[in-house]
Amino acid sequence: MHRLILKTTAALIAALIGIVLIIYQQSYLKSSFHDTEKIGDSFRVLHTDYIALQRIVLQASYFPYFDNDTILSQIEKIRERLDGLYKERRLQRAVYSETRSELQSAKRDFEELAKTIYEFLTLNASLKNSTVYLPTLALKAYEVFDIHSEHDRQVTVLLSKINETLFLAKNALDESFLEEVKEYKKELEELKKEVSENDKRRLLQASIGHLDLFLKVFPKFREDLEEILDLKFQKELESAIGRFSEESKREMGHINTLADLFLTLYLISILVVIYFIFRSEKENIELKRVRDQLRKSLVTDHLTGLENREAYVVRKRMMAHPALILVNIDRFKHINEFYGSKTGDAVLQKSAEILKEIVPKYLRAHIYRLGGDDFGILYEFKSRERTESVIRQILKHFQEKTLNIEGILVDISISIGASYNDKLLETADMALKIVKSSKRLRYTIYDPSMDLSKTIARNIRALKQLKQAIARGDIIPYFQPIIDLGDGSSNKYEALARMRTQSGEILGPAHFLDAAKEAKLSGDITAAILRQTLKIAETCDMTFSVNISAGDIMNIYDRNTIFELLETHRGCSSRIVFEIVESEDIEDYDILGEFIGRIREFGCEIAIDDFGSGYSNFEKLLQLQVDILKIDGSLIKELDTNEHAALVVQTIVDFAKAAGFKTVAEYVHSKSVLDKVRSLEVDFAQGFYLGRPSSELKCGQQAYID
Amino acid sequence: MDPGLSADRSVACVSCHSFDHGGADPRPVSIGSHGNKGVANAPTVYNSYFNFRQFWNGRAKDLKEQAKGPLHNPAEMGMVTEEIERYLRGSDFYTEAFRNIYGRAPTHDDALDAIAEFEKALITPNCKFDRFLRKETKLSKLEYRGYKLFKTLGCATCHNGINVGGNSFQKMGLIFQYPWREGLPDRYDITHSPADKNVYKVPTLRNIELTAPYFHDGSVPTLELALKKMAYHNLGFDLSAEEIEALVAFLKTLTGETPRIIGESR
Repeated sequence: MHRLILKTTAALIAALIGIVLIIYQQSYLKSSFHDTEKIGDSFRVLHTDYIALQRIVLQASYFPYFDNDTILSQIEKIRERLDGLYKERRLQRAVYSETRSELQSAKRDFEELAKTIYEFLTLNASLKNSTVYLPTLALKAYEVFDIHSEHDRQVTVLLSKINETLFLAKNALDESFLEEVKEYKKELEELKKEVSENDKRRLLQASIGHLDLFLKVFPKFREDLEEILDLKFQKELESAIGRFSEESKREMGHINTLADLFLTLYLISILVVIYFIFRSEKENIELKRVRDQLRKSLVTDHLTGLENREAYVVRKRMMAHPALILVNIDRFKHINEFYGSKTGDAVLQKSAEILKEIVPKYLRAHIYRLGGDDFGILYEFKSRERTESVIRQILKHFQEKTLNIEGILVDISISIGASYNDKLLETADMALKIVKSSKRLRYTIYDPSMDLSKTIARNIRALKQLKQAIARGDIIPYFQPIIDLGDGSSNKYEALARMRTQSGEILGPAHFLDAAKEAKLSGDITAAILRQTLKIAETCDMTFSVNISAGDIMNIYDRNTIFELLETHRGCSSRIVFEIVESEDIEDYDILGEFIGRIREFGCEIAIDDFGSGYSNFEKLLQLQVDILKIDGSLIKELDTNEHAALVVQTIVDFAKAAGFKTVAEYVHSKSVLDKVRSLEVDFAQGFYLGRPSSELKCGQQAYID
Repeated sequence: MDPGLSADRSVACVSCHSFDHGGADPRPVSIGSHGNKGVANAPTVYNSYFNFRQFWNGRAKDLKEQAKGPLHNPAEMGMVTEEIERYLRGSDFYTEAFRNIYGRAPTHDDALDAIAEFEKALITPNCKFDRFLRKETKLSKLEYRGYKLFKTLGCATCHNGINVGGNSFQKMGLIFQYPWREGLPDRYDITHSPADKNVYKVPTLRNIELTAPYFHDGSVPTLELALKKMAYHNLGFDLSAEEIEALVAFLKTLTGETPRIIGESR
């Protein structure tokens, strides 16, 4: 920011300097032209004035009388002009030094000229005095002299000649006439000697005086006048003018140089601005590049080079009808554990490459790595058929795929969940979970009916409650009587798990059992129920059934807990029946067999719960040497209405009898069902019709059916 | 008019440039402080502004420069710069007046300037000849004859211009020499060129009937005699009585009005 301000300021200053310089240049040029013009005019006026002065002086020399003031004022005028010009402000500049020195010498010369003019005025008056007065004397001579006398006539003729010659000499400024004048003067002096009359002598004396004066003054007068009319000062002036125009041209040259300089500075300032603009633009581009790179690195998965979840979120927002195919590598965790994470990474990379290759181009799909081993294929939804066809292509390609990772052959398979619903990723994931939890499904496309999201949400809540309940000891057994249909009495209870909430509410297993299984907490629940039941059994001489899941049995920890509990209650452990749900969960029949063997040592019996619901493996059951089959409640509750159910129950009862197993009917909720159960010769029954689960229990044989 | 500007407080400018005598000195030569006699007749102070130079030999180029001369001349007022300033500053009247005009205490230079400014007001316009030239009046026959003679005899060659003189240097005694001695205030006194002996600034002829005695040496007491002498020395001829009468009549038409500023101060 600081730098930006600095740059902006620099650019502004540069521009400002440029503008100021240009304005300065303009005004400078203007004043220059104005001054030069003015000075040129002054020179011209000076020249005119000088010519006028010459003219006036010439007039003064010709006119018998003339106003000297005009000459003096003209001199004064020129003097002032010269002074003014010399003091002209512009001419004070160094560049005009020669003009100034020319003007200086012009001034000096003009003063000389003025002196000459003053002298001329004196001489002019003297000469005029004589040239005006000599004719007057000649005229007077006719009165004084007698023209009839030879001598006197000579005098008058001589005086006339003298006048004629003087006229020529003066008006032609011709000095050569002076010789004649001298001759005449001599003659006049000769003639004067012969004159005795006083008035005649005076006249001649005066005439001689005037001639004398003329002879003495004329050469100087002529010289002065010629000097005044000479063009010397004019030339001086012209030379000054020439010098001035030369020097003003030189100054113009300076000004032009200055103008060029200003222009250059202005251009530089513009260049500076352009440079800054260029620089900032360049920086912008660079910044943009870095930003793009950063963004790319932010939205790219470094391992596979695919875009990551961030990119997915951004892209999805821009799409009209996005569809997502979620591809998950099966048992990737196992691959990682077995081969090491390096190989696992390579598997992910290869899978990414394969996906990039095989996803059809027409889909214009974007492929993402969305999580650990989840890949997403995002594209605009067209039809369900198209989606399925793409999924099938992918599956086909990955079917029984063996990847060669640096010589290690890794078998992989994939599961696919897809969706084009809202909450794209969640729903696709839900679909994927369904596939995962199924043995046979390879892919599924989400539809709202499979919405597990509510269940999941509930499970999460339940799980939280469950954990707290386990910690508090609020998982408690409720007891439901199991009635011997032979005599209508009972000495058996089934211990059913209940959860007591903090508000004292009692919840059935439907609320927490799924969550417990998911969270592998079912062992804890089994242990809690078993512990409490054993405690009760110590004082209550009844038989108690306790539920146990296959998962619990498979878990060594849970198994051992059960063994320890039975061990500590040796006295009553023989009155415990373990009800195992017959289900697919039983993966290892050896472990199950071993477990059953162990608990038989404590005198416990084994019941198969929900028999008839899963796919019952009769052979395995026989091997396991169970004691009781608890017929699936869903069959029992329909017994009075569903012929088919009755048939199945009949079959089970027949099988049980043949195998020596006792049978128990659950979910007996009505008299008619009870009657049916009886008629089918089921050994025991339980259900709401016979007794609801309760925290209270009655010890000792009880009669239920009369 | 203040004799305080002379060394012994005895003379003022007006002592030699008398308003009763056309601004000139009725004595042949002026008498300065301590009774020192000058060498020349004081020229009129009237219309002196129109002269192209000041003093008989034109050694001052303007009035200001001229004013300095008599003030410092030991034979005239005999002052020095410091004394002039001290005198003026000692006076409340001058101190206040100078402050009003020049914005500072009296200085020597300002004093000269003030005197010169005053002299510019000493003009005598509207003489009969002026009015004649402006065609406002007519000259009498005698005067007119005098005017014609003034031109034909050559007087006008030197006595011309606004001041009827005062615009060139001319020689006294062109034809017949005029007495000369060393020390006269002529051009020779400045240039020391022999041709400049007895060369003087042509005096103005305005108010000439009031400014007797005449010539640089104040040697001629009347106009008639002055005319006669001028004719003899510069024309080499004697004027007739009729000519003199006419010329005198003409010269008397050159007497103008008394400067207004004098009327005011009186």
